[in-house]
Amino acid sequence: MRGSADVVIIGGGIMGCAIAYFLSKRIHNVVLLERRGIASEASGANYGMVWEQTRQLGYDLATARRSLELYPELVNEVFDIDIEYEKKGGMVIFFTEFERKVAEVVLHSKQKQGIPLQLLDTNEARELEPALSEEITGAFYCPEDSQLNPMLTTIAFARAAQREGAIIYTGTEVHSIKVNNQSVRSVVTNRGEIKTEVVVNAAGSWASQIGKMVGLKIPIYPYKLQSFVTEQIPHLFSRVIQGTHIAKDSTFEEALQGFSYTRDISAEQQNLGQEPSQQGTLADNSMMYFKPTASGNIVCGTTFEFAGYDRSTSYEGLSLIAAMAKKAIPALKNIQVIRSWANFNAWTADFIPIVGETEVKGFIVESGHGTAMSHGPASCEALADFIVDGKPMPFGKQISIARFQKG
Amino acid sequence: MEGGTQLNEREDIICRCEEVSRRTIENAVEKRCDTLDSIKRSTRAGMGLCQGRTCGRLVAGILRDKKGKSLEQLTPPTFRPPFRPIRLELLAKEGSRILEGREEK
Amino acid sequence: MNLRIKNHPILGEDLRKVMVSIEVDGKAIPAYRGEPIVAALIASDIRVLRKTRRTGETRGLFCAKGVCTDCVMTVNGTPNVRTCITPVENGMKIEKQEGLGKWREEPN
Repeated sequence: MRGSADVVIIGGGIMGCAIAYFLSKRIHNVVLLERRGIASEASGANYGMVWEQTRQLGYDLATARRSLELYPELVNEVFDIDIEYEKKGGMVIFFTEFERKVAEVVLHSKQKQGIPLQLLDTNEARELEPALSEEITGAFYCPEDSQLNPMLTTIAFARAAQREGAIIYTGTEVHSIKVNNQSVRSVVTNRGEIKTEVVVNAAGSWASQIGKMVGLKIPIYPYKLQSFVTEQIPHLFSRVIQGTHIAKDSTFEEALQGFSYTRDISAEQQNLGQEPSQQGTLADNSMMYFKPTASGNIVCGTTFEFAGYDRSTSYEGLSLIAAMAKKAIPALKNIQVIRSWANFNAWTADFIPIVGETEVKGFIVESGHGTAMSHGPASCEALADFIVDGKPMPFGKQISIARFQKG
Repeated sequence: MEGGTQLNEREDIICRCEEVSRRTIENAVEKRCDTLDSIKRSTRAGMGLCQGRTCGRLVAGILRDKKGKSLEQLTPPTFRPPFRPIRLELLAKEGSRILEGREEK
Repeated sequence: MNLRIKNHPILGEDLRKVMVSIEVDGKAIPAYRGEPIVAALIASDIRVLRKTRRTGETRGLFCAKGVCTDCVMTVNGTPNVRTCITPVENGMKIEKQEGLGKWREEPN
């Protein structure tokens, strides 16, 4: 194992592998440490959405847009495996008149942000995707939204990083980080110590545990998602289809926020990123996601739980997902479910990641992305420029860890 | 004893469901996949209809041959429901009851 | 060659009498009521059950215990049915499955 490195990246998901690639193009001696395998956590478990319509104004939307520019370039010029990248457009479906009324208001504000969003009625939506239930009251459709295979995309970035000279150690767990005079000195792993002055914390749902190693509180918490996958079927639908998370008794304002995918957290931010707790039943915390994969399997999700690091699936959760699938795409009812899983997404109170430097010199965070596939290329491109040239990251204040700190 | 078939040719299929050859799996191992899980993610071996029930021990054997890992040293794959394929409508029964109950409120 | 065991050294004589008729790729073949689909097929010398999706290789009975999924065929319009553990029913329509097969019960 290497004795020293210019940069040590902790985490072999999409963020870690992407930053390894962008850094290795500019500097030598980049090391990535992953305690399991590449893409063995969220990057190997989620739906691979690179969407524009569900992004918040600021870092979220700008980064997604830049990633949408970068992916075709990466596919054509860099990646040596097929990541199943497709621009098919994305749909958000709804089943009530209330949601449709809220959608009309959201449509205008999204269009003002320059998002090419369309509001379709039932017939228009079913013309695009005939497999959709007749019971939908309408759908949002954004033709820019794209989808990919997240596992293969992460592996593609890892392979590209290795070609540029990065060294990747899997099965390698970080035990501690040595800090001297508030500066990073080395990383201690189960396979030895690596001297370095720059550490990138790309540990996603475990970013807070890495933060503790340097005495930092990083308010990123694990958010458990359950999903299952079906047997391979001939083409039924092309696009990723998502549902809404609007509570039945919510006010128009609450629904507006839910539909805009923003969160007003001034009250919580005052709590400086406290650990969240589960509110309501599992059914209250469920939302539809349907991803048709290139291989013909359909990935269906999901339920949300704050359950610490418990990885179990539950019959209730899987049954809810199956019920949502049957409701949205009736033809799925006879299909066999062959595998389920649970994984963590990295959650922050405002749904915006933590990116950039911290008060520990050399300790940089790039974690907390709930939509990491949308952020990965662009955020890591910018972060590499920051690490190598000191070029400030766009929307630096919005994504800074300082927003969760006193003073 | 005469006869029998040797499963040691590079083009022989190891994962029957996804039609993954021995060559593909060995290449993945050479590219630093050293767990059953990482081989599955890179090659799809174990992702098919039988979910690795047939190829699992074969892939473990390739890891043993190429990496000197004994079966005891290999991290086992995560066991997840369903135990056997289940029709979505059957799995949905309880969930549908819950969702309909909420709509009535 | 009829592979049916008429007199087993332990189980004794095959006393089953009730037959049903099933259709395989449009051709009617006999089957004992309740036996696994593939048993009836093999008794009628049908060994090739499907063709794989990527290479078009032929597949037949392999593990014979419902685990390997090599034996799957399209049954009454539903693909991926394991014929080694699914009992026959009178009038069942069975088709050799090509790749992922086609779903008849719901529109595609």
